[in-house]
Amino acid sequence: MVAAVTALAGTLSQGHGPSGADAAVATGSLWWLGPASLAAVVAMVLLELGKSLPRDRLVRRLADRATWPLVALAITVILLSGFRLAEIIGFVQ
Amino acid sequence: MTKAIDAPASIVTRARLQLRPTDSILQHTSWGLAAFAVTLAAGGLAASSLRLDGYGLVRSLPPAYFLGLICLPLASGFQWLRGRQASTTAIVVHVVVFVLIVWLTPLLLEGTPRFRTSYVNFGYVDPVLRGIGLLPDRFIYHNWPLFPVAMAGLVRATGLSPLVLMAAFPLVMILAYLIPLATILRTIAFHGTSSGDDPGGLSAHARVAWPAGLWLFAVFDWTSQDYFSPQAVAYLLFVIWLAVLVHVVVRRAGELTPRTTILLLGLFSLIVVTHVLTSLEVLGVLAALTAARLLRRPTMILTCGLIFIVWQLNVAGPFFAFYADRLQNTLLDVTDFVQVNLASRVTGSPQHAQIAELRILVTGTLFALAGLAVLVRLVQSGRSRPLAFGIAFLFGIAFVAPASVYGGEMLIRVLLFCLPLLAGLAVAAFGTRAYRLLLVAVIIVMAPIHILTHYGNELHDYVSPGEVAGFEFVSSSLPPANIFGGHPAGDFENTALLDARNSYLSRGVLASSLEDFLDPTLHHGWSHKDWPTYILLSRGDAAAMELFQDRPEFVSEVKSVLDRDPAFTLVYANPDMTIYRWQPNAAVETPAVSAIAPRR
Repeated sequence: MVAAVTALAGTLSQGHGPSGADAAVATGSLWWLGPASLAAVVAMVLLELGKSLPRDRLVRRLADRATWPLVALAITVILLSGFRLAEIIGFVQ
Repeated sequence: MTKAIDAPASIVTRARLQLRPTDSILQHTSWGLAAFAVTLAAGGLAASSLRLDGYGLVRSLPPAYFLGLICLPLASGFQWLRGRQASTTAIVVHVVVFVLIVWLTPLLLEGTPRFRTSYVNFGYVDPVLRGIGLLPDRFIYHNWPLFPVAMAGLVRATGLSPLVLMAAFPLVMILAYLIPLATILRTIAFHGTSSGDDPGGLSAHARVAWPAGLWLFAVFDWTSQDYFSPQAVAYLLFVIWLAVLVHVVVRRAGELTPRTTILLLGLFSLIVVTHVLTSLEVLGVLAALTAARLLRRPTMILTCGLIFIVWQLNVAGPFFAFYADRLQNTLLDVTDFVQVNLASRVTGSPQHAQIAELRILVTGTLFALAGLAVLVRLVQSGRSRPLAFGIAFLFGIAFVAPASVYGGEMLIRVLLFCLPLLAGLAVAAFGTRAYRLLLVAVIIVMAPIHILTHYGNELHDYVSPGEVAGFEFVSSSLPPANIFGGHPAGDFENTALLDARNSYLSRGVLASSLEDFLDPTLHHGWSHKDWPTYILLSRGDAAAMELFQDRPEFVSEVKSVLDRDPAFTLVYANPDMTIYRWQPNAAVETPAVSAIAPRR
C-alpha cells in the first residue's frame, strides 16, 4: 500500500495524473463546483461520523442539527454534478 | 395402554438407530473420500495433456479427475450427515482443496497466464511502471487508478514478473474472496437459518450450514472475474464491504457505529477509485436497503452518492467524454441490455453456443435454489432480517443491472454480485432436511460441470507460449506503431507507444472481413497516422473467430492472402503468431520466413 501510494504521488507530481485542468474542463463554467464538492464530501463524511455516536454526545447533537442543511448542500452538489456529467455525455445540451 | 402402543415404536426406533452408521464411521468415510478425491485429481492431472476444443479444457482431463471433483463435495456430504458433530473445518478444507485443484488446473496444463484481458489490464499498469504515469485520456482504467497504481507498486516492491503476477492472481483472489464470504455466511447462518428440524433456539444445522455457501460460491462461480483486473480487486473490496453491511443489518438492527461507518465509507471510497460499475452496484444495494428500512441511516446513501459523483465528474471526466456515444446508446436501454448480454452470447460455433446455454442454465439453477430457499424459509419461520436483507440486496443489484457500460458482460457481473447473497439465502434454509439433501446433491452434480462452465471458452482464453513470445517481440522490438490483430499483443507491454485494435471485435457487431486486414485504415481510426502499421495473426485470433463467429478457417485464409500480397512484409513468425509490416503501394519483396530471426 505504501508503495502504491508512493507510486501515485510520484505519478501525480510528474503532472501526468488526473489534474486540476481536467477538473476545470469537467465543471466548465461552474468553476466553484469543484471546491464546493470537496467541501460537501468532507462535511458529509464528518456528519456520518457524528451521527454514529451515542445520542447524548455533544457532537451527535450538533450532527443531528446540521443534518438538513448538509443534506441540502449534498443534494445540490449531486444534482449540479449530475447535470454537468449528463452534459459531457450528451444527454442534455 | 399407552405402554402397549409405544412399545413397538421404541423397538423400531432402536432398530433404526442400530442401522445408522456411527459418527466415527461417517467421519472416517469423509476423510477417506477427501484423500481419495485428492489422489484421483492429482493422478488425473499427472496423466493429462492440453487438448483444447470448442468445449474448452474438458477433453484434456481424464475421468479420474472428474471423479475426484465429485468425491470432494461427497466428503462434505458425509460430514453433514453427522449433524451437530460435523466438522466445519473439514468442509472448508474440502472447498479450499476444490478451489486449489480447479484454479490451478489451467496453469499446470498451459504454463502461461490464461484469459487475454489479464494482459490488457497489465497494459494499464505498464505506463505507471515505466514512469510515464497515468494517461486517463488514453487508458480507461486510469480514470479509476487504484488498480494500476497498486499493481505497479506491488511489482516495483516485490520484483514479480508480469507473467507470474497474472498467473497467481486468480487463485489468490478466489481464496481471498472466501474469507469475507465465510463471515457473511456465518452471520446469516447463525441469525437466520431455518430451524425446521430443531424448533426453538439455534438449529443444530445452523452451526454447520455456512460452509455450504462456500461450496455454492466455488461451484457456481464460472465467471472468471477473478482474473488480473480492476474489477477483481473491486469485487474483493465489495465482498468485505458486504460482510460489514450484513453485520450491521442482521446483528445491529441497521444501526451504524463509528467503526462500521468508517469501514463502509472507506471501503466504498476505495471501490469508487477502482471500478465504476462495482460502485454503482454498491449504490444500488444501499438504495434498496435504505428504502426497505433495513439500514437506519438515510444519509449514508447520500454521502456515498456524493463521493461517487464527485469522483466521476472531477477525475473520471475524460472517460465520460471519450465514451459519450456508447453511453448514450446503452445506458438504461433494456432492449440493448438483453440483446448484448443474453441473445448475442448464445452465438458462434455450436459448441460455444452450448457452453453459453449451459452457463445460463447453471445460473438459473442457482437462482431457483435461492428462490426455493426463500419459500422454505417463509413457510417455516416467516420473515426474518437475513431474508429481508437478501431480497433487498438482490433488488438493488437488479435495479442497477441495465446501466451497462460494458457490452456483453453485465449478466456475468450480475451473477457475480448476487452470488454471496444467493449462497446466503440457500444456507438460510439448510435446516430443512429435504432442502439440505437437494442442496448437497446440486453441489455434487455441479462440481464436475464447473470445468465446462468455467473453462468452456479455454480455446480462446488460453494464451500460448508462442503468443507470449510474439507479444514480447511487439513490445520490445517494434518502434512506436499501430497494431492490428494478435489481441492483446499491442495492449500488454509498452502500451504508451503502441496503438492497438482487436481484429475480431474491432467493429462492434460487424464481423471482420478480409478488407479489414488488407487496409487497416478502412474501418478503423488511428490516433497516430504517421506510425507504421503492423498486422498480427495469432492462434488466439483464430480461436476467437472459430468460437465467437463460427469461422474456423478465416485467419488461415487471411494469412494465405497476406503472404502473397507485396504490401505486407513478414517481420516475425512462430507457429502461433505471424507479424507483417503493412506498407500500402509499396512493391516490397517479401523475405522468406526462415530469414526472420525471432528476437527474445
